[in-house]
Amino acid sequence: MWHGAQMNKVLRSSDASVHPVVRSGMPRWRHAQVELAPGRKLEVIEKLIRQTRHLESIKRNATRL
Amino acid sequence: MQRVCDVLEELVAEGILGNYAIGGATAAGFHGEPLATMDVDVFVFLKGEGNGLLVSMEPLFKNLKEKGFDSFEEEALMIHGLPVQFLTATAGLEEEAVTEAMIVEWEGHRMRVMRPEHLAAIAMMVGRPKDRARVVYLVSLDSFDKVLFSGILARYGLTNRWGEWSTALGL
Repeated sequence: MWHGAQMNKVLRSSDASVHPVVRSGMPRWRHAQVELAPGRKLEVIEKLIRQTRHLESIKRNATRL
Repeated sequence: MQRVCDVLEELVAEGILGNYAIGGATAAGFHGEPLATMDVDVFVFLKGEGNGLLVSMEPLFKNLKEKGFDSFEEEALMIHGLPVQFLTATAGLEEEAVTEAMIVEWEGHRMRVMRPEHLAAIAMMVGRPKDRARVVYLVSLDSFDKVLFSGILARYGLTNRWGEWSTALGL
């Protein structure tokens, strides 16, 4: 799961117009994601899947050394 | 990801799939914050299902191969560079989750995604440590419908388990 600065970085890199609003009890990144249009949400999800797989491959390669 | 949704809708239009719904972490992430996952879980009803004890995915994969998607990474088929895992929806809770999935349409695209209440109930049924975390996350969403969730729990005999989980997880 991604938190805080990492999530904001993903959002900033994909859409500079996103301005998360802090709602009581709801973290910035979650509110930002809820407010995104479906197509934009899927772009963020796709990026995260690719990055998760990339990290996993790094871990596997490191284990082989 | 949008192109993956287009392929799934094409499979329904062609009659290869009876229905489908995106589930797992991808669906959970769609309702709130994106969650780390290795692939996209797609629960499907196959056409012609129910004639035997074994459900064959062959017609589905044959069609996808004709579309140019024949590369697997572990259990997932790569579609437009994204790993997609096809799972047949089992009778009961998963079947209901697919049938009652939300249909989301945008800019000429369409996707079917499981509701957060069904995702939470499925997570409770599976019961791994990461499913417990997912339940906490889903229940905390603004859009989570607790009345709908209670009905699902009652229908699938999960009410007592929810009592235990909600106490243990402080929900």
